[in-house]
Formats: sequence, structure tokens, C-alpha cells
Amino acid sequence: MSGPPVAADASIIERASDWLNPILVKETRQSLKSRQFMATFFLMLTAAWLISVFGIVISGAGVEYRAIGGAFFFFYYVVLSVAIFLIVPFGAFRSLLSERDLHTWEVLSITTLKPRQIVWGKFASAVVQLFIYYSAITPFIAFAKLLNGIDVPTIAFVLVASMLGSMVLTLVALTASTLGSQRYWQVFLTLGMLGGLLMCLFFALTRVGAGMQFGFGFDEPGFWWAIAVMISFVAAYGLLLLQIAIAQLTFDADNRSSGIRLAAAGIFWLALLWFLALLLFGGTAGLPSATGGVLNGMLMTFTILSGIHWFMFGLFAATEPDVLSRRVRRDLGRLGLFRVLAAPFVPGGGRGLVYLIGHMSILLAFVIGASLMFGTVDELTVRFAMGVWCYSVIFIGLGAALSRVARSVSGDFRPSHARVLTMLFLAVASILPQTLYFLDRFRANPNDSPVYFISDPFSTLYRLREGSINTQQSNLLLFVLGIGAVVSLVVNLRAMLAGMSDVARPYVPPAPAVPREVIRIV
Amino acid sequence: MNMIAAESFAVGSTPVEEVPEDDLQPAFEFRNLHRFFGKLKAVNNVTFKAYPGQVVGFIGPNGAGKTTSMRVLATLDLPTAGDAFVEGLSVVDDPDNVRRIMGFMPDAFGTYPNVNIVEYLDFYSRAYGFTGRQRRDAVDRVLTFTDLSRLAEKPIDTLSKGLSQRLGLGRTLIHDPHVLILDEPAAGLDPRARVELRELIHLLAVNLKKTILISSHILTELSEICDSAAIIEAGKILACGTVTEIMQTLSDRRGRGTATLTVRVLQGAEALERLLLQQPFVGLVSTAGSTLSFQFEGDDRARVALLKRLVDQGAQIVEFSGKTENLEDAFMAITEGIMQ
Repeated sequence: MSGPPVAADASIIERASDWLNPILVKETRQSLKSRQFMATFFLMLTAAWLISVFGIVISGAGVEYRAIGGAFFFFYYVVLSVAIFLIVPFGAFRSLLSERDLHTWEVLSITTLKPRQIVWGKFASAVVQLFIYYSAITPFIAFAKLLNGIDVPTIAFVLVASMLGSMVLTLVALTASTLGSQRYWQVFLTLGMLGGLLMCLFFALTRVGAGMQFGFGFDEPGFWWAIAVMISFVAAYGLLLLQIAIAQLTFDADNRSSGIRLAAAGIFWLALLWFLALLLFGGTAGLPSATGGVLNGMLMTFTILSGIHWFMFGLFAATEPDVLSRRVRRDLGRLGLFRVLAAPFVPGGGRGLVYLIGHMSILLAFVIGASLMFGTVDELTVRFAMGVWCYSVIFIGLGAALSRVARSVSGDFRPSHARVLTMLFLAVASILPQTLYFLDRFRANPNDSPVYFISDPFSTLYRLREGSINTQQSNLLLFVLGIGAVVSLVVNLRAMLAGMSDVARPYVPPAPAVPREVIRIV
Repeated sequence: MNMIAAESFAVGSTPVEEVPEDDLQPAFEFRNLHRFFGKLKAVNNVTFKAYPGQVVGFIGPNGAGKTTSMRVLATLDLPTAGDAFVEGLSVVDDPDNVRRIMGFMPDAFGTYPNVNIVEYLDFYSRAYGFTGRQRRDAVDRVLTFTDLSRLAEKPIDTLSKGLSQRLGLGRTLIHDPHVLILDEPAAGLDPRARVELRELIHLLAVNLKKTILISSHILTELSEICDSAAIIEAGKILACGTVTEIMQTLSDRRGRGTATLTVRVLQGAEALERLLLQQPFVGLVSTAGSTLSFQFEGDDRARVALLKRLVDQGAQIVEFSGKTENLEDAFMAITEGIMQ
């Protein structure tokens, strides 16, 4: 038998690779040998080379005196965009999806690699590809700069923003690839992903084209503030997507929820901090000032977006099974106070509802606080925020209760069923009064009391915000909604308390079970 | 060395009847394991254990619950109730540590494109946390053991089924696990590849002292590798113990001393059939050409007497033998072909 092929004296690169994520090492090796990567790389070079040659030929003597670098840059950017907005994210999507298709996932999942390492590895290998494509196009872009007509800040901004955009799309793709294990669902996801990436490619090209035409506004401080806000949110949502992907790949009995809960809360707190910065430092350091009607509009937008955010994540958290697995319980901290404070972030429906109510209350307190601190805040905005709080508690509380009851009847009832049912209930509650009113309209005295529409959150919140109802009616609506929220809380109170006390208790390892029956020969 | 003597693992032999002490930690254990899929009770109160160095055959018809049980033990699935343990570690509570000492080879495992054998093994050694010299040694060790060194640079998507299975076994061994779970490792292999795989498993048990849980439909092969077996049907364990124990129980069930004997004659099979039916302890005679099979309830002395009488009566006997009961017979006798 021949000797071992692995050289005893490993190269420096190989030794350095010990520090890298195993998935990154494997995927990079695979990529460098794959036809798809080689074809993309050489097609990119060929396309850029053809653009250069034909561009120069078409420009003729104009190369000497006209500023044609911008046009050249845009065409090189088109070539780069196909690789970074289409091929890299789709490659990452396929890479994780194919672990299931190729039956390699199970074997991989029982190694000591954590789901977090697997997702990070896939992401890192996509980033490596991204750098390789960038390095291929860089000489051509330098050439475009030499032709004049485009400045370094524009080039740097477009390339950096595009790289961040590609990274976000890669994260979206990785997350999407973890969502479906059934074939039909995977086909649907693949088509959706391709369509979405094509749209993003189109969007990037039109935005960059418009920016090059009309300028990006680098001179305006507001532009950089907007970029800073955008980057912070992109990073936060990127983290959230990672957590979702990791949760999808995590073993059922493990903690699949805390990461998502923390990331979702982080996004909310980030928004809150940006808003606070705007309130406190608005009008200075280039920050736009937020007063009067502007502040009202911004608070309203913030409340709507936060409401949607918390409704979605609250629904996911509150419909989880209440049972806390031994594995999760074991990994909770030892400090009692820490466990109590961390309880809303620990998996479980009861704790999920506490998590939702806590954050919705912070939102409401923020709106009321802003109203008190900056007296210009409209009372309608506060009423609107109260309405959002009540509806969130009512509908998600309903979903949580429904989930618990259904699970006690059938073990096959899954959290996803509860989520779909809650959304259906929301849809029916919204459509029903509108339909009845439509039918009622043909009668002599149709009932158009705002309470009649109270099950429809959209029209009711609209009425509260627009002030199309008087204060008395508005108070009546909030009173009824408040009762609904209290009922929802009472219905779920036991589960919430049990969920909190369950976490507060220190973990005691179970005594070794004694087998009831040891079968020998039957 | 554990309580079980090393010589008990010779292929084809039954183990020395040395019962492990109660305080010896089982290498793996299923404890009142249940796994239900809706109304289907795929695994229904399975309880058995194996001690270090044992090779346990997991036998049952399709859909009996073998793969489901193995997946739970491999930390790939969660039990509905009960638990499974590897060296005392619960697969429910402590899967991370279980994975460090357990290797699982599923019946179907995929391979990556654009990866050769050494890169494949290198990846898994990294995935198990090996670095530097340790990682390279792990890969070398597996390449040497599976005799794949000369094919180290061969892309794995071009390997034959036999070589793929060998590589799969190598991958399972990369972190030097104490317990191996092999789900139908010989399925789809040609006879030569089957023999080679069987030899590797034999080496694992005898030389490397691994505890192995192996499922297969090829029971004749299993009986050559395993020193104990668990027979499962419709999610329930019907029998488990050493192969000898199972055979003995089967024999007891049929009635002590009952054996199937076979006689081949040069000519006169019909006459011999009539003659046999007149003999004591003989029953259920069947004839197939010049070969007759029958049930015989006598002991060895009665068997000698029978042969002498037949020869005296002029029967031209070419062969006179007793049929050896094997694992396949045990399986057929114990299971009822229940489908679920």
C-alpha cells in the first residue's frame, strides 16, 4: 500500500487554515474547482475585456479629450453586478439547499460543528467569492478612472454599497434556503429567489445609473446620516436573518428562539436609539430637526413599523410550545436574577407573550414620553399607539391561547398552524365588519358606529389616527379595546406566570431513569 | 480491556458466555424508547443495551423501526418518550458530547461535488475540531485503515458504490468514536465489496474494540459479524441477546431436541419417504428430488440408530446431515411479517 498522501510538513497556508471555519475551507476548495465559478470568472473577464476594447474603438479619438470613464465604469459595474447580485447569493442559496438534496446534511449535522458555524461558513465562502470577483474587475475599474468622468468617492461608494448589498442578499438567500425541506417548497423558494435576485439586480443598476447621472449627494450631511442609519439597520437585520437561519438548522430540543428574540429586540432598540438621537440632537450635526408635524409623522411611522415588527415576532414567540426542554433549561444561567431578567428571551409561548407585551409597552411609553417631553406631539398619535398596543395584545394573546388549547387536544398541532390560524382570524376579523356594513348599507339606517368595526384593526386604527371620530367615540373605542386586551391577558396570565416561574427555578438534573422493563428473549 | 474477553469477537463465532458485570457502563443503551409519527408507533418501548466491544445486529423487516431507533441514538431525531444513551450520555440532553464518541453511517449519505477523498476526510476531521498534526494524523489513519490511500486524490463523485461505502465508513471513523452505528452498510454492494466491508467491520470490532450497532437485511452476513442481535418488528423488540441465546430460545420454543435433518439418496426417494414415516421421532417429511427433509425429535443416540436402520433397510444414502439454525431462521421464526 502506498504511503499517506498528506504531507507531514504542512504548508503555512494549511496550518493557517486550522484557524478558519471548516465549511469555508471546504467550500473554497470546491468553488475553485467548480465549473460554475471558473465559467463566471472567465466570462466576467471576457465581458470586461470586450467592453474595454469595443468601448475604446467606439469612442475613437474621443478617448483623448472626452470624459468617458463614467460610461465605462457603468458597463463594468453591470458585469460585476451579475456576479455579485445574482451568482454569489444564488450560489449560497444552492449551497445550503444542496446539503439536503445531496443527503450530506445529516452527516454534517452530527459533527461537532454548530449550526452557527455552518451558516457563517457558507456566508464567509460567499464573501470570499465576492472578493475574487471584485479583484477581477478592479483593474478595469482603475482603467475607467484613468479615462476621467468619474471620481474616486463615487467609485468607492458604489463598490462598497454594492458589496454590502450582496452580503445582505447572501444572508437572505441562506435564510431562505433553510425554510423548506420539501421538494415542492424548495422549487417555489428557488423560483422566488431567482425572481427576487433579478429584481435586486435591476434595482441596483437603476439606482447606480441614476446616482451617476444626478449625483449621490455626498455633500449633504443628511445623506451620510441616512447611510449610517441604513447600514446600522442592514447590519441588525443581517444579524436577525443569521439567527433565523441558525434556528432553522438547530435541533428541535435546542434553543431555537432566544437568538431571534434578541435580534428582533435589538432592531427595535436600535430604532428607538436613532429616534431618541433625532429628538435630542435634531437640527445639529447635520441631523434633520424633528418638531411639530414632522415629529408627529415620524412617531406615527415609527409606531406603525414597530407595531408590524412586534406583531410578527410576537406571534412567532407567543405560539411556541410552553414546555422548556431539559437541554435549554440546563443552559440557563445560574444566577436567579439573570434568569428572571432573561426569561422573556427564553423559548416558550407564555414567555413569548411577556416578551411581546414588554416591548409593546416600551413603545407605548416612548410615544407617551415623547408627547410629554415635546408638547407638540399630537394626542391622536398617542391614541393610535394605544390602539396598536391593544390590538397586538388581543390578537397575539388569542393566537397563544389557541395554540395551547389545540396542543392539549392534538399533539400534531404545530406552532406554524397557530400562526396561520391567527393570521386567518385577523383577516376574517378585518373583512367581516366591512362585508356586513356593505350589505347593511342598502338598509335605511346602516350602522356606522365605530364600535361596529372594532374587530377590524386597520379601519379602527385609521379612525383613531385621522380623528374622523370625536373624542367620546375614540375613548369608547379605546375602552372596549382595553377590555379586550385585559381579557386576553387574563386568559394567558397563568401561562405567562408559569413560564416566568419555570425559568426562575434553578435547574436540577433529572435522576437517572430506571428502565421499566429490560427485555431479554421474548 | 472490558469484562468481555477479546477472543469472543472472532468472526463467525459466538462470544464466550461472560456476562458483563452490572456496574459496567453500557456502550449504548435504548431505554423505554418510543418514537411516534402521528398515529404510527415507529418505535414502541424499545429497551436493550450493548457493552463495550460488542457487535450487535439490529434485525427487522422494512419499516420495523430500525432506522428510526438508530437515528435517535445518532442524535438525529428526538424520542417521543424514553431516552437513549451512549456511554451514559443522554442523546436528548447531551447530544454534543454524544457526537464526539459516536459515529453514524446512514443507509444513504451523499457526497460533495469537486471534492476528492483526502479533502473529504480532511473536511470532516476539521468538522470534528481536529487541527494541525492531529487532523493530518486522523486523515492518514482512516486512509490507511480503509485502504484508500492510493485513491486519495480521486474525486469522490466518481467512486464506485463499494468505495463510497468504504469512504463513508472511514468518515464515520475520523474522530475515532467508541460506538459505531451502521445502517444497512452493505446495501447495494456487490459480493466482493460486501466481503471487504465485512472484513473492515470485523477489524473494527476485533482490533479497534469498537462497539457496533449494525442493521442489515443480509442476515447470513450479520450472523458472521455479530455476537449479539436485537430483532425488532412493528416497533417492538421481539428478541435480543447473544446469537447463541436467541438460537437456544428458538430451539426451546420449537421443543427441546427438535432438529431438521436432511437425507440425500442415490435412488429410491419415495421408498425412503415411506420408510422414514415408520421410524420413531420422525415427522413432517418432505421430498425434493433425491433429497428428503424431516423433523427429528430424538437425541444424538437416536439419530445414530435411525441412520443405522435406514442403511440396514437398503437405503442408498449419499448424505445424512442436520440443518444448522442460523440468524435467518431465528428471524423468520420470531417475526410475523407485520407491516405498519
